[in-house]
Amino acid sequence: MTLSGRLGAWLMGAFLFLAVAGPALAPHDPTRLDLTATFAPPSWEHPMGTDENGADVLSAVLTGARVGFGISLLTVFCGLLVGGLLGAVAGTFGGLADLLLMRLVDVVFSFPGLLLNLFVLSLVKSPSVGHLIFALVITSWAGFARVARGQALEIRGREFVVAARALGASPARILFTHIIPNILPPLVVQASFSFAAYLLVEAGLSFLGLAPTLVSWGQLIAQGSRYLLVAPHLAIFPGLCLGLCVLGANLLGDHVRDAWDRRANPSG
Amino acid sequence: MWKPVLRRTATSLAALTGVVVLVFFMIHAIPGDPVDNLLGEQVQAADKEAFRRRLHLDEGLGSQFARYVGHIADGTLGRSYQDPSVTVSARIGEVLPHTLQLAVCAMLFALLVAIPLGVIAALRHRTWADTTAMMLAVTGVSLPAVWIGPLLIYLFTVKLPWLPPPGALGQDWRALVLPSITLGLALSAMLARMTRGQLVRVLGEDYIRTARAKGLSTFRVVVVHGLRNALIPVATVAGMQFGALLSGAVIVEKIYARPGLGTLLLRAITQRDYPVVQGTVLVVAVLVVVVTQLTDLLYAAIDPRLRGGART
Repeated sequence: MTLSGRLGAWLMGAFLFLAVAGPALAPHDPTRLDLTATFAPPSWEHPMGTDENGADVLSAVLTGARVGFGISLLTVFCGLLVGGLLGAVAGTFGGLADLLLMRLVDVVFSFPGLLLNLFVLSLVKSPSVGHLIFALVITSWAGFARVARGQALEIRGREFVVAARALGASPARILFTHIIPNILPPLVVQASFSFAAYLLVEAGLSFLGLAPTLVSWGQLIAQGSRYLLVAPHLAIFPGLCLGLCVLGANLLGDHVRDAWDRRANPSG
Repeated sequence: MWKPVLRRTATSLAALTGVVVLVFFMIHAIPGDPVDNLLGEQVQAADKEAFRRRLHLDEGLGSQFARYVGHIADGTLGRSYQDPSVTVSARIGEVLPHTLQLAVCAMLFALLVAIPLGVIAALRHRTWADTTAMMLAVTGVSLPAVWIGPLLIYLFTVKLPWLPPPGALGQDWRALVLPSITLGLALSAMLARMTRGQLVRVLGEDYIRTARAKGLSTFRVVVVHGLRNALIPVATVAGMQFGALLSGAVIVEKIYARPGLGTLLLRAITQRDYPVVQGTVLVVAVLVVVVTQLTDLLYAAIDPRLRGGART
């Protein structure tokens, strides 16, 4: 494993741990206000300082870890399920469904992603987490569909698929036992990059004030950047965590992709 | 060479039609009444009815769609709910130059950083210089704009007052520096990785060996023979990423309090001004499709191998 791959795995492992255990590790109650200690710079008592209400920033960052992480994970998972399946079906069987699906993918790709997310969120009055994930999945499935279709197109011509078809395997059997297991690795790579990207999108939407109000890193950055002049630490620490988490996902994605490329073309 | 061009154009037109239909139906699929959203729920029923009639929301879906397509056809894109004296296209026309200026500067910044970084990494392939350059690149992709923007403001307008604070506009080109960096950073990192990958591939090809064997200087080999070919795919990806720049612009405009499509869109969203939201989203999607299409055509025009391939 390369150094950067290992770094990525470590970072993702660490943030996964924080996403699960974060709230339990928080040294203070992130909602407890202390108006005598507002905007306190980092100290032993408050390693990331305190915010405008004197609440502990580290506790908020730890509590917020699972929010962005969870939203991004769900977005990628739903996108992978919907897009992967549709793409695999389209690539394996072709025909009119394939044509229509790919045109739909083209339509989604005609919008800059964030704009479509924004647009969908703008249609509801006060968006919930469900709305947010729905708005994100509207764009996330398309990338998976494109990758899955391309891979399926390639695999369906391979000998083992032709042989299975000649032996009379049903279309469902071909799809689920021959095509899908073989197109998974590139989809996993896509999922990793997509996860990184949607962490950033969630932060962006929170910053724009369109995501539901939750303690997420994006919200913390957005709130913190309002007090940049008096207390830059408010925005710096959540942003650092977010950046590291995205970095971890990107490094891991790179690593998985390189490993897969080496396996696919051992000479290259 | 015309057949693939026509094919691409047909695909783009199909995508645009899809965009038009999707934007309309998504707005009309909203649960709840846009009039309630606009006026609040306490307003008298008669007033609501009048308002609804004025906005033509009392008509059937079919005739509303026809009206909407009509507004696209006559180029007005309808009228703002907030201020019906101005057409949506006029509102967009006012702010579009700001956004395009920002996107172009961000693209220039991205290319100016990416190409040298990618070339260094490729020439020093698998050395510490390569590793450093690529670590920089992956870090650049990972930094959230919502974070790096405020941080740059803090560093370069507060701590070191070299650049004008956000909100400053007008003729001062320096007001564009930080927004362009914030917007272009992720793209520059992505293009640097791409430049490196392509150049490494190209430098391994036979004609490069021939060029070296002829005794050409390293500079000539790398820049004239290598880079020229390596940059074709990079330019294509840069064009394809234009859309990402436009959506990034929404965030960057908000951070730096700049006027532009993003600011217009966000204000329209909070005011529930659906014609403006619809129009802005539509214009951006059209821009993206057109730029992608042009990039595609340019790609075929620059690279003769592709033209040959396309003809068969």
